[in-house]
This record gives sequence, C-alpha cells and structure tokens, in this order.
Amino acid sequence: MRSHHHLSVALIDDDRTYQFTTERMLQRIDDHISFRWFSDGEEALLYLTEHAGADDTLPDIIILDINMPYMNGWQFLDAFHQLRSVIRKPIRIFMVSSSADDRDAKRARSQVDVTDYIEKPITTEKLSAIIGGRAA
Amino acid sequence: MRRLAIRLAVLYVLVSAAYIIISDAIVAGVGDALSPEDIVTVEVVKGLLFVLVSGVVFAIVGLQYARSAEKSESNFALVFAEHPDPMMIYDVETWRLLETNAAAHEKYGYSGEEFRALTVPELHPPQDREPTATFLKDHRPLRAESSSIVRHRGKDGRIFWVSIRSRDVKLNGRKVRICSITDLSDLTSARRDIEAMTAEEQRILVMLKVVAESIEDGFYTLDRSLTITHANKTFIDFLGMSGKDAIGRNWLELFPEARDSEPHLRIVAALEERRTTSVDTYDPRIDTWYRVLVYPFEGGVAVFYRDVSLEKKNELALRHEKENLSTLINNSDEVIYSIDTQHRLLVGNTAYLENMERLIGRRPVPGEDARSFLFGEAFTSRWADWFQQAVNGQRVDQEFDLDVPVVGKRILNAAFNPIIVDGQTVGVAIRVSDVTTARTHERRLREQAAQLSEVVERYEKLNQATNDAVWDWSMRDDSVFWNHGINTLFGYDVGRTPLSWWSDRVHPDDREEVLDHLTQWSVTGRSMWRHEYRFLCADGSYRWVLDRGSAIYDEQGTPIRMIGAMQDITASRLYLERIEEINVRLREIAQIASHELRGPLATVLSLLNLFNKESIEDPENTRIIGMIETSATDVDAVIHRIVQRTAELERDL
Repeated sequence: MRSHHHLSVALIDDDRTYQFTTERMLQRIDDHISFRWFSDGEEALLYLTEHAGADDTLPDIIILDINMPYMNGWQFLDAFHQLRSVIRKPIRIFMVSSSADDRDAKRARSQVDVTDYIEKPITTEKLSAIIGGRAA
Repeated sequence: MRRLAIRLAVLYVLVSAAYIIISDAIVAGVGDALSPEDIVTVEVVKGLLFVLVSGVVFAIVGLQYARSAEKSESNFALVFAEHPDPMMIYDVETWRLLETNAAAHEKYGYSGEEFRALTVPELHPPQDREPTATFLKDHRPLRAESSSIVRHRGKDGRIFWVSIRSRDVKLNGRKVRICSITDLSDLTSARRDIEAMTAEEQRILVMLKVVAESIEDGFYTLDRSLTITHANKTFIDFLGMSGKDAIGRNWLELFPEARDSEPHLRIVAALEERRTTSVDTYDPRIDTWYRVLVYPFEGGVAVFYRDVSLEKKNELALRHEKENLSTLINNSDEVIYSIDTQHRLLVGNTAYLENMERLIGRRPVPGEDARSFLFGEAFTSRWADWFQQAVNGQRVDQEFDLDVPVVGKRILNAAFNPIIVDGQTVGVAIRVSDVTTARTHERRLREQAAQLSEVVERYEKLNQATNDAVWDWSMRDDSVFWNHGINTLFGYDVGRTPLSWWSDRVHPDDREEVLDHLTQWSVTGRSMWRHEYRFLCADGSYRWVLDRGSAIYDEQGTPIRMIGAMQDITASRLYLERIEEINVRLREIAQIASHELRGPLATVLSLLNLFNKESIEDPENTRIIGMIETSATDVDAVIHRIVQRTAELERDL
C-alpha cells in the first residue's frame, strides 16, 4: 500500500464523523495519501473550478455522498459534467450513500462520470479497493 | 155344352110350369063335374104322365149327348193320333209322358210303350237335361201357351232342333201338358243356320226375336255382304225411310262415310272371327256417341246401337279425372299403395314401385303378400296392428323411425285408410311419406328453442340476481333498456331511455373519452368493451362505475345491439386510493429507514472499523467511542420518528 505516493483523495460529505473516519482509514492504508474534505457539493465545485488548470492540486479520486444540504450528489455531478471541458485530469468519482435503495445504486452507475457506487459504511477494505483500482 | 145344359134346364122349368098351370086349370074347369075321388085320380094320372114324358125327354137328351161326346172324343183322338207333327201329353207334376202320337213315334223312334217309360228331360240330350228340368220346375203350370226352341234326342241318339208349343189342360182330373212339336231340321235354311249355332247364339237369336221390336235401341241384322236383312223401328226411323226400302240395302251404301271406320271394322271382324264385339263411336255431325254391339251368327251379324252421349261424356270426364288423379299419384314422392284384407298387394304408384326396387331389388307385383316386404319382427308386428285397425274401419296415422339398408335412418309417416265398399272393408290404402328432413329440421328448431329459452331463463335469473345495472342498447333506434339495477344503484326509476340520457350522466371530465372509446370500439371491437368512469346519481353524487358490454352483429357484421352491465366500483376505487395513500406513507417510512437510519448506523459501523481492538488504551478510541455515542443517539432519534410515523398511519387507517 505504500507504493501509492502523492495520491490525492477528496471527500464531499456533510458528515463530520464520516470525514474523520475516512481520513483515518486512508492514513492507515497509506499515510502519503493527501486528503481533502468538502462539506457540500457547492464548496467542492468552487475549489475544482479554481484549480481546473492545475492537475497537481486536483484530486485523483472524489468520494461523493448523495445526501447533502445545499447541493446534493446528483446536482454536483451535473455541474461537474459542465467542467469536463476545462478539467483535463481524469478524476474518478465514487458515489457513496447509506441508502439501501437499489435505485440509487443503479442511477449512480448509469452516470458517465461515476466510476462506481459504494454503500456505506465505508470500510478499510472498500477504500483499499478504490485506491487499488487506480493502480490497476 | 154348359149353355146347352142351362137351356135344357130353363126349357124344362118353363114346360113343366106351363103343364102344371094348364093341366090344373083344365082340372079346375071340369072339377065341378067330377067327384073329389076323380079329381085325385086325374091329378095322379096327370103327375105320372108328366114324370113319364120328362123321363123320355131326358133319356133322348142323354143318349144324344153321349153320342155327341163319343164322336168328339174319337175326333180328338183321331186328330191327336193322326196329326202330322209329333204330339205328346205329359204329367205336369211327374213329367212322365202319358200319350204320344204316330208322328212322334216315327220321329223319335220310340214306341208308345217306350215313350210312357220316359220323362220329358230324357227326350233331351244329356247336357240339356238339367236346364230342362229347371225350366219345368219353374213353369208349372204354364200361364198361357208357351213356345220354345230346344234340342231333342231320338232313340238312335240323333239330335235335332225342335220348336215346341205347349198348353196345360186337365185330362181325367189330371194336370197334363199337351205339346205340339215342329221339327226344325225339316226347314232346310233354318236347319243350316241353327245347326251351326251354339247354344249361346240360339239364346241370342230367341232374345233378338223377342226384344227386337220392343226395345228403344236401334237394331238391325246384316248378312255377310253387309246387306240389311232385318231392322227395327228405331233404326228405320233413324234412316228416315220405310222398312221396305231399308231391307236389302247395303250398309256401306247407307253409311258411305263409315267405310273403314271403327264400327265398320268391328262388324267385319265379328263376321270373320265370329266374335261378339262392342265399340263406342262418335258421330261429329250430330255430336252423339253411340255404343255399338255386334253379335255374330252364322251368315251375318246382329247390331245393336244406343245413344250413350251422356254416359260417354260422364265417362270421359271421369276418365279425365282418373287420369289426372293417376298422374298426380304417380308423380307424387309419397309412396301410395293398396292391399286387400288378406295382405295381398293390389296396386302401387310409381314411387312405391321404385322404392321397393331399391329396397328389395325388384318391383313387387299385384297379389304378392305385402308383409314380406317389411323389415324386422317388431316393426312387422306394429305394422300389422295398424293394418288391422284400418281393416276394422279406423283411419290410422303413424310416424315412426326406420333404419333399413340402402336408405339408412329415416323418419316416416304412414297413413292407413280403409277402402270401404258397400259398408265392407275390402282393403287398405297406405300412404307413406318421408318426413325426415322436416322432422330433423323441427327437432333442431325445438332444440334451439329449448336452448334459447334456457339461455333466456338464465339471463333472466342473472338479471334478477345481479347487482349490476344491466343495459340493452338497440343501435337501430339508439334506445337503451335498463333493468332494475339502474334504480337500485343510481336511483333512477327508468325502463327505456335514449342513449343520450346515459351519456348526459357520464361525468363531464370522463364523457369525451368514454364516448370516443365506445364509438371506436363499436366499429372495430370484437371482444368485450370495458371502461371505468364516473356516473351521476339521481341524488346528484357521482359513483365510479366499471361498464362492460358486448355487441351482437347482423349477417353483414354490423353491430345492431349491445348488451352490458354497469358495476358500482366506487367502494373499491376509494379503497384503491386509500391503499395508494398508505403506500406513499409507507414509502416515506421506508425512506426514513433507508436513508436516515442507515446514515448514522453506517457511521457507527465505520467508527467501529476504526476502533483499535488490539490496543484498547489507544487514546483515539476514546474519541471514536464519543462519536459512536453521538451516532447511536442519532439512530435512536430516527427510530423514534419511524415509530411515530407508523403510529400516525395506523391512526389514519
């Protein structure tokens, strides 16, 4: 796991506890992974727009929660799709949700920009798989 | 003789009276001069004288009479004995011959003694004896003089024709018959004719003689050359000439137009073949039919003719009718035939003969036992019963099933009609017709009617039992018949309404769609039409109905009627709506469970994943526990909300 240097992961989730657990798990997997946290979609979109031309500062992976205030996961995806013309870097997006509703999973996987859908709770094993997927 | 006796008696009375009166007067005149004793003496003398004279007179008269009688008897005997014709006297009761004369002895060859041993029939040839005996029995006594022509047989067996004239007399207190016999064989011409004649011809000849002049029929005789030899008054009147002119004329000369006519040919044939014949001939000049009878005899024919126009016309009309009837009967498909009381076939029409030919391979002939053409013992027995009823004078009409070879299963109708002549059944006319097609058709109709009435009954029951509003829409006049359901369900007391009455009561929001659907369906639809819509009730409220209907089409496939039923589905509709509402709320609860509960629970699980189980003392564990507690509180809060929502739902239900 140590081989994943300079990997940048961004989490878009309003749940602070969840932000804490994700960050801790990533540190346990690989303490070189850089982690950035946004409490809602709008905040994340603002950052991505600002850093659109600078690939180094853009995350490799976005973990996107569906249920959020202000701008939820779906709205973020729509807006992010607009940014695709300016962001060159291939960013993999994983949608996460505590919803047991299959429809959410299906909808998420049907999105062009979404790599996969992951049901909460996030575990170390699931995160390892996400990160490992990049290497593969 | 009797008159002589009376004359004598009268004369005697007169003379006696005169003598008594005159003698008494003389005695009285001289009485004074005589003594009473003298007077008595004179009276006695006078009386004796009278008796004497009377006795002498009677003796003379008696002698004279006796002489005369003797002379008469001998004269009669002489006449009888010496008569040139044979004469015979026989007993009317015993037919035994009593006296015969010399001519008879000579003619017959029997002596007087031999004759007296014979009876009259024995004078005839054996074949004539029976009729002679009958004749004699029937004719005793003869009322008047009788004459007949008969055959007699001589002692030597020779047979000869004789004419006999007979008269009954009393001889010595005995009823006898005196016969004078003329030997016809002596008449050369007559002999030839008569010898050639049969007994029948003889009879005819005699009959002709008797009736020729008395009958109104025309009558004439012709010889071989068709010359008229005899004609009666009717014929002579018909010819319009005198009898003398007619006799000796040739028939063809009198009737030139009759040459080669049917009567002409018949007369010639009768002459040549010696055969009695008759022919009906029509004379168009006077529109008259004649029946001509021709009797041949040796040397000629006797012809009778009679005007039979009326009879003929009736007969022709009858024959025409018969022919019509016969044509009708023979052209009929019905089998018609008649049999006598002994089951013998009398006559059958063409249909009968043809059918029998199909059944038994040949045409039956009159006289055959009609029972032999029947099939099966049971059927033959039934047939015999019907036949017997007909023989007893009843008319029988029977229908029955028959399964026979060649023709297969048929339903037949047989009518037995007794043929009654003079109150007696002499036979039975049977008419058999094949009613298979008609009966099969009737049976099918009956079955269909039964099925239909069953369906109608079922429909009626259904109609009574159903809670639906049943409707029957006649498209021809756009009228709708409603059952009681329209009243029970929607409060309208109507029986028949126009279609618009219904469409006006369909909810305005549904109306267009319902009518469009119905119109479109009635053109293209073949299965059941169904539609749900709101329908206005008499109380102003709307009810949801499920309306279903099916169409009935004519031969061209055009819908002519539609029958259906409206079902009130308001309750189930409301229930459905309620269910949907509940579903929405259940989905909400599920949403809560899915998202709001799983959120904090997933956090708890993630935190537990971070919890350092190997080193409980890890200071981060304290922070994680705090976070787990917070999340657990969140879970509890969510569960509280779910419980609350569920309670609300239960309450609303």
